[in-house]
Amino acid sequence: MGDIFDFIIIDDDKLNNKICHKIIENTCGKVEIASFLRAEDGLEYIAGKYSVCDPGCKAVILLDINMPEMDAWDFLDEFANATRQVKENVRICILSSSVDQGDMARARKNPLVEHYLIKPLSADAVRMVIDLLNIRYSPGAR
Amino acid sequence: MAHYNFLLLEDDFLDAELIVKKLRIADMSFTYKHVDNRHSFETEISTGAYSAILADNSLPQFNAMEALEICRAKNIEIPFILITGSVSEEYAAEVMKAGAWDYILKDRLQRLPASIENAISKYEANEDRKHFLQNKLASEALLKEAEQIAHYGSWEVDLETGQHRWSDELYRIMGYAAGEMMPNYENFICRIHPGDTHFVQSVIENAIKFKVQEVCSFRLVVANGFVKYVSAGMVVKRSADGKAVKLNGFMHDITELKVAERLEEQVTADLIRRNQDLERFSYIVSHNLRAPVANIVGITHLLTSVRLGEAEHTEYLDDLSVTVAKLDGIIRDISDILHTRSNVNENKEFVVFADLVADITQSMNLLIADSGAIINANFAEVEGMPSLKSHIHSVFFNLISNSIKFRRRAVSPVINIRARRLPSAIVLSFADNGIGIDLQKHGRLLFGLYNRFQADHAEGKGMGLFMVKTQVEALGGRIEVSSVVNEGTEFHIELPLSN
Repeated sequence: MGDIFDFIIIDDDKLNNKICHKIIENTCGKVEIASFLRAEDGLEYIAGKYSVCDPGCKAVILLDINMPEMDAWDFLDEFANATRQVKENVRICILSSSVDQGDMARARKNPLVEHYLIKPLSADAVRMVIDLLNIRYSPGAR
Repeated sequence: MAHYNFLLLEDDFLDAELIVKKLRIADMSFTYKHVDNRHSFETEISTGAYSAILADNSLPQFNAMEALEICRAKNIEIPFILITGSVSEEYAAEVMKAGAWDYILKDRLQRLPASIENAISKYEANEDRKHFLQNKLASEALLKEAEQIAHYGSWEVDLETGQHRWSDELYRIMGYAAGEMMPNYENFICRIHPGDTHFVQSVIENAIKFKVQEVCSFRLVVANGFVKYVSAGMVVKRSADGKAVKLNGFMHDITELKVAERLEEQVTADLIRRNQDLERFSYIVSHNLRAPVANIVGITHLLTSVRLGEAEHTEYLDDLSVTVAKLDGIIRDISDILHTRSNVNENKEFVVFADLVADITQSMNLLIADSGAIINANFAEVEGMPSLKSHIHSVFFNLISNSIKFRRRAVSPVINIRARRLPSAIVLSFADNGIGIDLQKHGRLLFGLYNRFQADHAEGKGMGLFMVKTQVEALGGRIEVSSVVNEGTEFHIELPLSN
């Protein structure tokens, strides 16, 4: 049986975060979703919560590419310096509105990025991520 | 055997026959025309059909001297042989001086054939030499002209005699008049640009010692300090023991080529930069268009296929309207940007900088009052320039408003604006004491479209600096920025003055 994952949305677009929240809830039922408008805030939160070795203490990040101050690439550079524990507990997917080949190639090259999702987040995409990471989700959800 | 055509000037019929007979005996191949008066002589000689003239020295109302004069006047140079009865030595000498090639006494006609052959072969040899010289002169003239057109000069040095030879064009390339002075090494060296003298001298020395040929490029400085670029080369001729004895070389004035090259490099660099700008622009546009569209798709999906409460439903509808408006806004921005890029030549007027500042401070008076902003404008050196008022106004507006917006906490913003005049441009500088920009981190994207790198200052779409750059460039200018974090930022804008 897989682990239960929290969802972390890092995106400066409030409306997108709201939509993602709704979609994830609809697909996974009761699940912990945290969202951050600034990538730095997300980093801080992750370093705090997921550096501990707790069973069921895992998360998947949905990371936007273009954000002011710190963008996805900056975030991934910083994340690479995180502790081994954090890197084991936290998995990363990119969720972007960009359909630019350059962006997709860059994401593919980065070993920390497990998948590249194109906005808007759909129920199917959520299910795919779940299967990919072998996440267990609560029964009865649709 | 050569065939000759003679003009025989003789009034005595029998004498003429005798002459012809003597020539036939000598087996000469010839035709002849017999004339016995001035008029016929003149007519015949003008045809240019004769190989030689055989003339009696005296005819009624005409004589050999007069005949010679006619030949001279008409530039006829074919051999003129006098055939005469006894004549005095003085007369003979006079006739020879007047241009006759030989004289034969009538009772010594056996000498005639040999004399004729001799004279004609000398004449032909002379003609050949003349043609040769003419051709040589013609081709030299052609070469000189060709050298001049190509700005290509040639030279020669005889290392054993120390003698130099320079073509006319070489003199000219070096800034002298053709033949102005004796060509020598010093007169060449003194024309080389001081920065290149050492280099050229060592190249020449080295080539003379070791090489078969050599080329190099360097600069000359001629009258008025005018700098020329030349490409020069030479071939080193050596004696059997390897010693250099002669140098043959050229010098090609490539100044025009160099200037054109520079211009081309600049244009290429410009084009590359513009292309990169356009690529970035189109990336940003497509990204910024896609973002709201993705949200619209997401919301409409939620509205149509997910069960929502009434309040939620209304909320999402509101979100939808906002997002659609945002999308519309972006499309309008693009339209503005494209319009800004293109409409530069309309409506140029003299823009007074102080008026713009007054106008802008008036429209921002609340913001200025709240922030305690102070704007110092110094337009003493330049009060304004002919340009597009809308563009200049926008530049001033955006930079002033940015400086106020990005001020340091608890420090009133001070903005110093100054205009300076350059020979063919006006430089505007905007300096503030705000929070500054980390140019190392953000420099590359500073003027990028929709680039907001200060998330706290969420107002504004991040188009201000992009528009400023677009407008400055549409006016043919450049913008540069320098900044120290927490101390301030300075923008320099250079706008060309068109004649």
